[in-house]
Amino acid sequence: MHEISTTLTFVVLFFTLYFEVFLLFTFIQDRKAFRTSEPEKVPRNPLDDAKLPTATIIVPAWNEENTLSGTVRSLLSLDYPREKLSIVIVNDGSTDNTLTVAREFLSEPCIRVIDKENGGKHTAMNLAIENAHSDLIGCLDADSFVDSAALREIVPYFQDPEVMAVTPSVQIHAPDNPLRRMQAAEYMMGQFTRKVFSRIGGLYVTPGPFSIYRRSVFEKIGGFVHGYGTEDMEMAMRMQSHRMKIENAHTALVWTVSPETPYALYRQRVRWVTGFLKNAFYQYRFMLFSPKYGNLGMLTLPFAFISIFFAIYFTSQYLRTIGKAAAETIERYLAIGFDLGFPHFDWFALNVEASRILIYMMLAMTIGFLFAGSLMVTRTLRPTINMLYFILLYGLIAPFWLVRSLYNLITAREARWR
Amino acid sequence: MDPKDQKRYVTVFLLTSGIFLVAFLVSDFLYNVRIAQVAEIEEGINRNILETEIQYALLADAACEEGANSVPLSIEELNTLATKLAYMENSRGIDDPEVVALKKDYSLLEIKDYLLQRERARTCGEKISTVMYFYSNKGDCEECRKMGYVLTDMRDAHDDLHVYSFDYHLGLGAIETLKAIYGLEERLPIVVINRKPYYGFQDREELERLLPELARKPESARAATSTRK
Repeated sequence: MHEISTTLTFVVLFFTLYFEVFLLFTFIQDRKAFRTSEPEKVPRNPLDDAKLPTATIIVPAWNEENTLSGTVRSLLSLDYPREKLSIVIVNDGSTDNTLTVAREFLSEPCIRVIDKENGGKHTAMNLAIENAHSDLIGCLDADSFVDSAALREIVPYFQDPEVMAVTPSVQIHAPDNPLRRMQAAEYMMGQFTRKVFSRIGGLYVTPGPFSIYRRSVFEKIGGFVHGYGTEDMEMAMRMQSHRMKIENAHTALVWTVSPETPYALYRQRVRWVTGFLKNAFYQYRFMLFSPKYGNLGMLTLPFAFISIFFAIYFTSQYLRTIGKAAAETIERYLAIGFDLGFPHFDWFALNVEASRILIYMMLAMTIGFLFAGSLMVTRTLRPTINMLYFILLYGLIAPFWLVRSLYNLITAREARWR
Repeated sequence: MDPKDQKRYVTVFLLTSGIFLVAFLVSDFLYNVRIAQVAEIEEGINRNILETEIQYALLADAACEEGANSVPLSIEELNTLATKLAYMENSRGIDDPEVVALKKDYSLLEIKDYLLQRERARTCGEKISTVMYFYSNKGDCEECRKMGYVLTDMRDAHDDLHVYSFDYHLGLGAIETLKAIYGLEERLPIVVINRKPYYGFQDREELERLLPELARKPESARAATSTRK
């Protein structure tokens, strides 16, 4: 039994390290694409205003009266010629004052408001897409805010005629509690991996907040579908299945409001992971392990799936270690009461088994990715409390939604959107 | 699939394998360093004990006189060694041959130290506080860990308390002899105080009752013993 456990640990470690080394290796090989210079030192927009494409940004909204105006105001602040920008707010049958808030912006010539019966985000998007005639079409969730330079950072990527969609750098808006701080670090690290994935053609999600598509994408492969509650993943996977190139503009910052409570986060992640699993297995299974789909088929999709089991395995080991230490502390307390002596660290006590050394290396690389992501987003390289929350909390809580999502996959249950 | 990507997969595989190899080599190297450290401590203790034995032999009756007490203290080193061996046992497992060999050496040193202390007590008419503790970590002694905490705590509190711990199942001839001398039954944990065995968990109050001389000596300050376990 012990030998099986040891072998399993090394297998899991090998695959995890392989993936991390792959990310690192790609980053080193392609480091120019990860430019992190100060904004003023980098030519932000190689395109003249006259050459900029026209763009429509769709804001699908369902009961978003509290955040909608902030979202629209951020779009109005975009550094982009106003005559080339259209904003379409789609009220998807809200039962609150979302429509009233949306109509307050009608004085802006670039804004249109569409009111429709509730049908889900994908229907709101499709209705607006049908009526859009711009070169580019994007979406911005009504709980997100764009940086004024975001669109100008994205548009140059479309100079490559093969690029059909560009994703931004989605970050957490005003993290104000440990859970949100943890997510802020997670999103920053996610930016690093997303950029690497984009460099190897391995992106499998075009996030709701401010992913921009060529209009021709929808003409060729159709509009959004429900996609098991994750229409953005479904769209990205469908694009990949048609070998359409998706890029990531890591300097195009978008801020999104993150779940505040553990339960809200759990529900959001169950929906995401369940959506990923169902899209990957029910709709796009043919891409898994298929060399025809390059790194997406051979690496990013399979690893995204297998990493769910790895995460559960590592957490179980982590909990086992914590449980053992807690049991020893209790036993010690029962034997001798409180020990008020200062605990001291003895280097001799440091576990230096090969598996532990590999885990230390893995953690070091993960911390390195956290810093790399932070550098890409904030352009500073300093440790933050958010990173600490991520390291301490994420591994403990993620398995809850991973296990539930696996259960949903096996039992074909639908994860609820709200 | 792009040949460039294929090349990347192979390169990353080789790099990852290299990292694994380095991890195993580093682990092996550090393990050997630790083995050497423990062996060095054992050698030091052995030398100390030998030195003390020679001193006693040379000084004979004068060994107990004021000023002649230059006995190298081996108990602290023995305690340090015990802690290090416990770490190694935890990480390498209780059946690791090198750990078992080091434990046997450690047990012999403990017995030598015990004999020396007994001889000194007899020669000088001193009362020494000695506890022999027999444990097992093969999973057949639920209370051994608890007993260990109590004894470590007492050892930290009383500098002159000599705790000699022996793995009941180590398979060492000298330990078998001790078992025979004290007529020990396999009911662990066992503490032997004043040549009398006590079976099962004994709490601190009980041990202090069995070692009344401890109460007459002041407890050493915790700060002074915080560097050892």
